Amino acid sequence: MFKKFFVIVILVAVLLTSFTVVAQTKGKMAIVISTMNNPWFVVLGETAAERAKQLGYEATIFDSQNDTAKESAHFDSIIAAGYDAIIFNPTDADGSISNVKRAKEAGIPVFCIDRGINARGLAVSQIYSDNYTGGVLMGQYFVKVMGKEAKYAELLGILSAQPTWDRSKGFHSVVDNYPGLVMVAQQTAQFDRDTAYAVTEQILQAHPEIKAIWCGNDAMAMGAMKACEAAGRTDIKIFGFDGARDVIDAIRDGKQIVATIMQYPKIMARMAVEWADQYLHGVREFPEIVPVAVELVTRENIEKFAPYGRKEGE
Amino acid sequence: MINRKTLITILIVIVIGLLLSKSCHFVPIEQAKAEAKGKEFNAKDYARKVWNEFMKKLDSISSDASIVLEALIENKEEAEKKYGKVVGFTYNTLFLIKGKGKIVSIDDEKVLIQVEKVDREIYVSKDLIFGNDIVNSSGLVKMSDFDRIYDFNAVSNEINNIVNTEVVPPFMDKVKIGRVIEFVGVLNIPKDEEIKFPLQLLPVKLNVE
Repeated sequence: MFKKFFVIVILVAVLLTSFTVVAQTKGKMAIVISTMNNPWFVVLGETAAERAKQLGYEATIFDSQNDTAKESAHFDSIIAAGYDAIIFNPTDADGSISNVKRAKEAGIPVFCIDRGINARGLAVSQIYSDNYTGGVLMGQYFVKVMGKEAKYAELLGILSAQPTWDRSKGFHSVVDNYPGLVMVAQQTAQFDRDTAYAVTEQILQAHPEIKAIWCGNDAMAMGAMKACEAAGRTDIKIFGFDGARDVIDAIRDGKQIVATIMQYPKIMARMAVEWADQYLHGVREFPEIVPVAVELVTRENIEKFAPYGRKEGE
Repeated sequence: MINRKTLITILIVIVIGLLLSKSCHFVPIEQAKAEAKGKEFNAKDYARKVWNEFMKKLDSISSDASIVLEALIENKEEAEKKYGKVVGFTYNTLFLIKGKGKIVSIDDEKVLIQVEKVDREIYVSKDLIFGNDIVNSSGLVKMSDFDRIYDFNAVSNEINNIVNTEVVPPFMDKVKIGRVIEFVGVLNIPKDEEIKFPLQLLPVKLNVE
């Protein structure tokens, strides 16, 4: 008799515990990040996960490793597992459209962060840096620093990623107005530090006359800087984009990276998660595209900034 | 006499020919190129239409320069709320202003203008205009109007080209110290910094009287 009673008590306790766990979480948010092999994206993904947990959700980060096939497989798993919302950093502006479409068809809202997709009416909202303006700001600073005559190289990011071209086009919308500023090499380094190192080595051999390298992100700027240092070319000025920790340090320390564009991954990640939470509570009015401000960071204003954002209180 | 093998070959050729003629047709390459070009987004044409619309609405959507400048000096936050325009998450506010002023100085970089009815100065740069401030201030084009953000930026660039070629150069040809000008343009004011005069005016319309 006592044994039976004891078993019932245990069962009730187990049931109550599981109900408590369910009651404690509001649901599940998937955070799909293009690559976790870059500190900037780690900040983006982890900030989103942290905010989702603060709001009471279970949060899982999926690393697409810059591979659309992996990204697609993640979406399969996410849809099958019945996640409530997806915070999505796409690998490919065109190639990722079908994933967002499938999620929408499955009734899962998608909020894009940092990068967008080339389609409207699928993602609830796309929150990303105003990369074009960032390119413009960098182009204007580039002209100021380099003068109106110099040969330079450009390292592009992943060719299918939207920010690659927004940044590049913004930069060239300024710099191409000065015929004396001649781009002698333009190659992709895949937003990757090691690739940038190798590409810069080749460029330095083919075009030793360059005075500057404009890089579409900070990881490539770091790779370019290391290659220049190894070749004894510390005279070359390097321009980045992101506001990553090592580049902020390099600018502060007066190394050859002279400027970057500060993006705000924490702001984008938190905004997307908070909006996903509001969506799950019935709110439906969200702007489809939200450009997030970027700022030029140089030695002159470095004190205003910390890695991945402004200093607290600024 | 045709043998069986030749007959089969002829039949196969006829069938393939029929299939090809049904499944494809040949178009001269120039026609194909023209058709393909027609399908591409033409940022220049689009920008011109936006610009014409902008010019029509300019007077009704811009605020009096002297009132905005006074409001900015008095209470920046209130002025931002009342007259400013913000696109997305930003640290800056845009103001589309109109007014009159007198040219007080001209140097290699800029033309300095004393704004009427308020003791403040603005300037028009002799350098080229870049970025999205002008298109954003118009409110006539939104990023979400385009499938590709790339196209929005191309339109913005073309609108800047109109300003850089059709607005600023004719103005610069006529400027002279003491002359009165009529202007419409955009101020980009950082939210977290104190206002520093003279403010740069990104010009949209400039007339020397």
